[in-house]
Amino acid sequence: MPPVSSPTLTPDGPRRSLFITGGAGGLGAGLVRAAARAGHNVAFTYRTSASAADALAADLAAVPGAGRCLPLRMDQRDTDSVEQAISAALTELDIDAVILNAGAAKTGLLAQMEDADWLEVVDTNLTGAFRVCRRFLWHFLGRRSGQFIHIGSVAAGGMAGHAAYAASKAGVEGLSASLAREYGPRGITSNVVSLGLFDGGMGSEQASDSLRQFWLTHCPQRRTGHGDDIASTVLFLCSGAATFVNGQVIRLTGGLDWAP
Amino acid sequence: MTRDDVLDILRQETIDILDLPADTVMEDGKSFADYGAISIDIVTIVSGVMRRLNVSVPRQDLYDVHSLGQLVDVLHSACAAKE
Ligand SMILES: NC(=O)c1ccc[n+]([C@@H]2O[C@H](COP(=O)([O-])OP(=O)(O)OC[C@H]3O[C@@H](n4cnc5c(N)ncnc54)[C@H](OP(=O)(O)O)[C@@H]3O)[C@@H](O)[C@H]2O)c1
Repeated sequence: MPPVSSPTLTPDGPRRSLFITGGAGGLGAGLVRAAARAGHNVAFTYRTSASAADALAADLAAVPGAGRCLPLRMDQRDTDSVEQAISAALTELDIDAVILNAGAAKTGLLAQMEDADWLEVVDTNLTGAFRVCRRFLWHFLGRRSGQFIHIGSVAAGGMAGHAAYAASKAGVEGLSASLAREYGPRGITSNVVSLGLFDGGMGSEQASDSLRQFWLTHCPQRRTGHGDDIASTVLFLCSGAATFVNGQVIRLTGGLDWAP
Repeated sequence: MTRDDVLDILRQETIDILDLPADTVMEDGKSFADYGAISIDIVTIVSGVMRRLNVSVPRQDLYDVHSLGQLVDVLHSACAAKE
């Protein structure tokens, strides 16, 4: 088998084509903004936030030098929806990297959790990520390069009141490590960017005051994460500079790798 | 794009991925396994051919493909549908 080629970098720098799931959400919108402003072309998905997605694309279209933005509707609990959104993205862009950011959480005691709630979280976070990766593998294998970047959570190690979410994020780490081993020989990498408590998105909407207080007390940096912290790491992983980073869980936690 | 063109692209990708001699002849009735391919080689070859042909055959449509000839037919039909 011939050696795997490095991703092509344009003369202007590493302008890439990215696919970002959940790109109209709290952290996802920040990622889409940072990527497009850096000149990358971005296909991003939304499920319910159609108007936010359109507004984001319109905003970025007005930024000089920004990459192209393509909002696409996708529900990752539905295989057909995943296949359609990805096919639509691939007719427009030769996607180099996929950022699996979409996610959902349901809080509550495991003892009282209904099957439907458990299944919805796992279907969204874990099975949904599998569906997206499966479709993109056919694209990445054809070009013999590609990067998967999964947005994980420190909850993967266990978190009271978030059993389904924690289990799904632990599953994502297993999925990513398996992709890294199975497709590493074909020039495809897979890594997890595991987040602690962040400003925005579910970190603002679902974190209790006591969790926030716990975080601010015990995180060695005494702060929550910001959108820029994610963008710089994710964009590095998407760049041609990171092709030897594979099968890793990169923690963006300020040093607190544990949830109560 | 003729059927022979599709077969030739499939031949080139197979030689490339499996590191076979350049004059390898691909026979319709044979399978990838006859040329020494394992499952990940097959997915890599097929996705590479689809990329070069600029067609996308749904995964499910490949389940019943057992010979190289059947695969060439499926890919050739996809090209014809696009033209
Ligand atoms: N914020 C934090 O502190 C934190 C901490 C650790 C990990 N994370 C992870 O960061 C990622 C982004 O979360 P966030 O904080 O930005 O939360 P968020 O604002 O709730 O965003 C979640 C995103 O996922 C999308 N989504 C939900 N269900 C979906 C489905 N079935 N199919 C497709 N898309 C779906 C939503 O799309 P619509 O809005 O269009 O419906 C939304 O864009 C998640 O993976 C989360 O687990 C966040």
